[in-house]
Amino acid sequence: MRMAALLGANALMLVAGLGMLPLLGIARSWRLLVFRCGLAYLCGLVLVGIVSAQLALVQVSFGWIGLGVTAALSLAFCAWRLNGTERPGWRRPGWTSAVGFAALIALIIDYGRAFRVAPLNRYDAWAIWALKGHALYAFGWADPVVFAGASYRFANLDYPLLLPSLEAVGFRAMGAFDTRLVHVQFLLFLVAALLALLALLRDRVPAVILWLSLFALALAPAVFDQLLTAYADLPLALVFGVGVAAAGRWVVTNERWALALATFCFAGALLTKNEGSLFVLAVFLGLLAAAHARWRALAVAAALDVLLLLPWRIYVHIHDIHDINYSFGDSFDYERLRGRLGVGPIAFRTLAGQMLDPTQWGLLMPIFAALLVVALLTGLRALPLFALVWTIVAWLGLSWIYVISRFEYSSYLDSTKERVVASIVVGSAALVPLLAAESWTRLSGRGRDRARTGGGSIP
Amino acid sequence: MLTSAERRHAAGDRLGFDAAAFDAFRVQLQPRERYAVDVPPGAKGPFITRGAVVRAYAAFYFLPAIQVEQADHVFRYRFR
Repeated sequence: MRMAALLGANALMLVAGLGMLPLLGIARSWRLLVFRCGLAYLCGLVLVGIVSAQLALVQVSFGWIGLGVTAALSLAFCAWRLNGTERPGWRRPGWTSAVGFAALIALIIDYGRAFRVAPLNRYDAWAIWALKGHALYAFGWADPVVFAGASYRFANLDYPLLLPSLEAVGFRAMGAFDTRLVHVQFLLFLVAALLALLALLRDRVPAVILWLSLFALALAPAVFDQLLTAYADLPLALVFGVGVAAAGRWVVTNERWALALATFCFAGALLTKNEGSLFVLAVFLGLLAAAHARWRALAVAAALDVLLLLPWRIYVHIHDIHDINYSFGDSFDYERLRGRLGVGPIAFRTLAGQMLDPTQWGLLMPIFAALLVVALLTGLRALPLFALVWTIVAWLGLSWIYVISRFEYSSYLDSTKERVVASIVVGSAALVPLLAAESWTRLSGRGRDRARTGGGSIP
Repeated sequence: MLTSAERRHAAGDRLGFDAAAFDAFRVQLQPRERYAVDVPPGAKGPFITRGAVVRAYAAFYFLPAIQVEQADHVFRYRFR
């Protein structure tokens, strides 16, 4: 019964996400809505996460009623916005897609056997995320007695609330604080992200390359292992990764909806974990390097992201909540840093080792690096430059965190190194199909045709 | 498949805590009731002491009761 309630709540999130497609300009007709409906689930998860996290700050609880209202508004908006537009026609799915979907369903069912019985026993999962999710469920909002309470400082109170808010929505839907089924929500993040990447790239990337890329990601051991811990790193990485892929598409095509989607995903990333700020900053720097002529659009996108993070930052400021792990402000405390600068190169190398570890991430990063080189050799500039800049900045930024951290660096690095790289690896993996397809297009001489006709082709 | 008790104590069992002590205190608590934790610091871990881990686990396990630094209702925990 609880499982049915959780899945029902997620179905409403999917419906809520459908409305985001015309709102973000992703779907300007019923045909495009159907064609890109794979993006709806992730958009719905992020939308419900953002809305419930913001409402939690003003004493409004988000449960069945909130889900129902959001889904109904979404459908009404679709009907109004898409009224009279082109209807979808029936197209027989290709063999690649049919096999891909069948294999994906089988994989998720197989993963689900572990996720529906996993115990909640990893420190950050219960001490940070589930504790906050339970408190939001029990008190109905981010009551400062817990969310700013001195006795709860250990729970990284400065971390934003998207993930615990989503957990709380699930608990409200189930009518219980269920430490077992909460894991299923993490698996559903993977489903949402894979469907989103598929819908986002299917008209730019050959089906075989796209499906292979998705399975390379889904089958990476760290994806399964880290999602099962119920930590926030993989949900952050998945939402961020879809944003990176959308940003990459925008770099190539200059489609406004792709930037809108990226901006929306980056808002989700900002509200999931503090590290999201570093990754989003890195991506905007990458975008600026690759598409500086379009700086006005980037400025608007960055401003919207900051605006969505603002309520949480105000809450943090009002309640005088501080990061217990590190503060970027310490970057300017030279006296303190003088003895720790050597940590930077160690962290840099260690994180590289983690990203390249085939027992964690398979060959995702070597393939990404190889495709970067191929893309540059084929004459592509903007997309590989974007990819290179954001990954390097994010990698350097993560390494810097260990320099300014208040903890003894080796313990801190040892206990976090496996998971902090998740956003870099998943974001890079999300760019792999686009890099491969664009390079192939160049190589096969179709680049000029595409440039003449502009934009991506939609079947 | 874990039993519901094993599932409830999964985090505490992983840490080697005495589940009975936590359960005995939890049944006395009402939602939003304030309680404090009295625990010795214990061994120092890489980030926090074992006593601090007990406080954190109590904060998680006793929700929706609220942990504060001082209260009439006190959870006392000693390491074996």
